[in-house]
Amino acid sequence: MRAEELVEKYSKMLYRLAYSRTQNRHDAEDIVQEVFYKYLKANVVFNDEEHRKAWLLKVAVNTGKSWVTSAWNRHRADLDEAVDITNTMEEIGEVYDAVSKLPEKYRLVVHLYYYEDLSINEISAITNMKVSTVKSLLRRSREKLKKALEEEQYEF
Amino acid sequence: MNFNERYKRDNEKIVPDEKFLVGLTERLQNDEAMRASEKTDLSHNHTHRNNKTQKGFIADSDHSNTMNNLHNRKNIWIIGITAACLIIVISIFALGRSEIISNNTRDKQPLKIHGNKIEKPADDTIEEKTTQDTSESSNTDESDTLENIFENSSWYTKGEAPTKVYERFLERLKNDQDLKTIYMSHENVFSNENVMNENEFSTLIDKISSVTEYSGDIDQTGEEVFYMSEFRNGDIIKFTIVDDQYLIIKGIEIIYKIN
Repeated sequence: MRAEELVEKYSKMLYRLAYSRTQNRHDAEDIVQEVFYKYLKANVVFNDEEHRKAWLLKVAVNTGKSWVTSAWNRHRADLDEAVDITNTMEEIGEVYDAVSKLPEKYRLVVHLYYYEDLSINEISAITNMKVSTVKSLLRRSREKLKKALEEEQYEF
Repeated sequence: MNFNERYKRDNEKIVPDEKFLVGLTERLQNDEAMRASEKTDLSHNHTHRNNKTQKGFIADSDHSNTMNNLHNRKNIWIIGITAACLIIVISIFALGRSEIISNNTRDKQPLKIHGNKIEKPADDTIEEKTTQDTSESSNTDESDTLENIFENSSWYTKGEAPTKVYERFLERLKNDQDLKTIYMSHENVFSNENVMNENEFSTLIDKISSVTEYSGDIDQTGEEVFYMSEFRNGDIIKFTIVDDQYLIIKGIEIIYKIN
């Protein structure tokens, strides 16, 4: 798949996954960029588009893990970029805002389950977490989200 | 109201910046072109060598045809036996593997809220734990590639001494066999317009050639300049210089003060 096609087809998917984790536009962009570079470098032959998608998601999950505690992010936080981010979450929507308040691992499984419509097994394979861990994180996420959104009475 | 639908709807508002996408597409296309050109150079050298070899055989065609026939029959036997052994090994291996991913299996349980009463699904309705093959596929080549990517996914080792990390970073920047392109921008967005020229690059290297570790915070009063360096092995290292005094490399915990 050519670069232009790749960006067209998968940039939003990867960006949304990355943003759900980092809650930061620039870090999300950097993750997307790194994933595409890794894709070009790896030059893997895929069985089908589902296969390609799973591969990209897996690489995206594993990219950027060390950035959270880095000086770069601390400096960005000092510049009050975090405040802008909080406002942005509320503007996106109350459901997204509620999810954004969950710890990172919870946000990840919620995103993969509810946005990417992946199964527990697929999430386990992509994140390298045990199936029981994924189930547990999802269960706890639902409990926390129900509390946060109890007025709205969402169906999960 | 359905959480799933609402969460998806909220996500539709999250889109990458158009300027970022344009810059990214350009850089990926540049990278593609470079890889294609490297492949062409390699295959041209290979063809050239083959041609030279072939010319040497043409002069002795009868003898070489007989030898080729014998050689080919021998090769066919070797290939056949090897293939048979491989099939046997793969079959034995495949028998021991468990199922991994199935797109058809979803464990989504309806979770309805009626006032204060919450109905949870029974635990045994959620799918059983299965043994996972995290390579996701029976394609050995792909799983090898994934492992290689994750093994060397960082250009530095976590916990490595900051001075060592910095030295490696500087060495890589100075090595034109390693560094492919470097960009400079006053915002954290890069495109082909931001590629540094030689003078700018020399100035940068001179500036950051001597640093010390800095454990304090930065109270930024001046400008911040962003850099992005792309390396031939696919590594991307972003860094920034704040107030012309502090060097921050993305992913690294400490800050360096420029001497």
